[in-house]
Amino acid sequence: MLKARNISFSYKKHGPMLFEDLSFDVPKGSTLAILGPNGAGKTTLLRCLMHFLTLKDGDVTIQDIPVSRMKEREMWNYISYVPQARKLVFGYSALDMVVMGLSQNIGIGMTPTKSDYEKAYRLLEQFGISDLAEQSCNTLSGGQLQMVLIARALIKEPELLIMDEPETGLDMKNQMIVLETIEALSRNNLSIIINTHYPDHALRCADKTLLLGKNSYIFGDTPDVITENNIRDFFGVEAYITEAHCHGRNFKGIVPMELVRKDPDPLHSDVPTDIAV
Amino acid sequence: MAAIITLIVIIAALCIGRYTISAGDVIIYLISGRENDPMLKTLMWGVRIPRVIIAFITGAGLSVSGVALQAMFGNPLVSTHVLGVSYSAGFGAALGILLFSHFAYVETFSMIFGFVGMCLTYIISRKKDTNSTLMLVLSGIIVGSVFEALTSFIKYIADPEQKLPSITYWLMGSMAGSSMSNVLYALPLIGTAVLLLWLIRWRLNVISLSEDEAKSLGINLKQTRLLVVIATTVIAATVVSMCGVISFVGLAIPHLTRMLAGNDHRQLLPLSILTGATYMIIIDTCARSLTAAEIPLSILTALVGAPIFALMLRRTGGAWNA
Repeated sequence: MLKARNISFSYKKHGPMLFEDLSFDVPKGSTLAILGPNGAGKTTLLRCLMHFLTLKDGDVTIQDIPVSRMKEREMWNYISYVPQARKLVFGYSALDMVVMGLSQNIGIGMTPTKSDYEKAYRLLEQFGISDLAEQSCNTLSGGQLQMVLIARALIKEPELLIMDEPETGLDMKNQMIVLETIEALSRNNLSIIINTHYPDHALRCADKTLLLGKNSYIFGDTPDVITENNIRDFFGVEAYITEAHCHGRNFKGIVPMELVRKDPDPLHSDVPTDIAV
Repeated sequence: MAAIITLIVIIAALCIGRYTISAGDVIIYLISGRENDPMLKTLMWGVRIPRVIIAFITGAGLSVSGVALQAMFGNPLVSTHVLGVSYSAGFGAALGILLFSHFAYVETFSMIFGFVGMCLTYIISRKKDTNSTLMLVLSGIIVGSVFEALTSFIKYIADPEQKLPSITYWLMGSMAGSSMSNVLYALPLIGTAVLLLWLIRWRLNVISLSEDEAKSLGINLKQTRLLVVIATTVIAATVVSMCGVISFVGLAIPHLTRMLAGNDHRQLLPLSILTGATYMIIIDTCARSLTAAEIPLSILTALVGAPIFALMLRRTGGAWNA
């Protein structure tokens, strides 16, 4: 579905590369998780994939057509983007927000039709939030707003869904709702790229994982990428991967234990080893 | 409801003035063309009707511009002043008064410099891979402050006996010079610009989201923004060229309308035409009838508008983000 070949990006013309020579692909119907510490360039990478930023080098292709040569309209026929759920400057109703997903087909002088609204309402029903249809998005909880944004992305029936930290800022129940939605969408043969801070979420719902570090990256099947060693190397955290079998399914969890201390001398260490009380 | 209030205000504005006419006479004259008073026809067509029409299109235009720009910048704090257009058009008018005394030059200069200001703002803001909204605001501030300084310079060198008072008076806004020729010049320009913004009323909802979101929803963001910039520049430059700089309307009226109609531009835009027009007609009627001399509009727009705005703000807590 989407392939990235040797892509590099820098915010400055002659400055250091934020990421360099990255290659990965998202086969049709699979889910890719992009993981990495803060500042590694996860969001920048997502923005490059959608051509919001111009790559310094390399190519991103969708269905083997380079994104750089596609017309914007053509690209958005394939891709839908789900941004982080944030309060809006101007509040619109949940139903209007979902209908906005069809804006590509609403030309100058036109407004959404009754059938557009019916389609949006059916989607909200599928997500079990049709009772919120008339509510302003700014009065919804973070989890509800995230579901509205996902519905907005799905209404135009895209082939690839790109989600920027969809579970960040949500409580455990709402995180589960979002993760289960991602799993359900993936089962329906939708390709998904999700940018996340949580390695255990990647273990749960991603087929492939791209682990992005400051100067290196690893791409592969999720269980091969998210390992105790890689978590130590990329996040600087000693962690233990545990496994539970429940309801006929294996669940993996990550137990972070302590920071990796390169310097045993507390005077020169980044983190104090003893805190006086 | 809003349309009825606007109609009542229009009829009241036609009645009120130095020479008071009864509402009955005005309505009979407007419907049948029969005049019981020989002064009526001259007064109506020579003074009051053009003035009410100018106030209507000015108020409607400034209010709709404010609504559109607030959507485009995703920020409820902006108005036509933000693109630097009002300042550059104001400079054009001041230059016109300084160099010539004929009104036509003032209008032409004001219009030309309004567009020059807009083009400069747009050119400075164009840079790849940057936050274009922020760049546009900052460029607007740069261009606005340059033209503000140039206007101050013109005031500084202007003849203090003759030219300086006219420049100052012009910059404070007045509709005293309204005539049917003004109407014929301004109505097509402002009317077309408002129509253009009305045509993209759904897109205004979309562009008020974040830049990435708006792009990802598949609309042509560049084209939509350009339409908004051109339409609002035409409105701002036409208004300044015709009746000087009028502050407060482009900022406060969109807010008041949001409190009444919500944020959906399909309802907000038509309603802001009526609220802006009604407000401006009331202000202009006060300006020409409260005292023996005309009061500059910018004084009244803020003095009358601020208490209403404050009251609404206290009552609703600013409904734009609800």
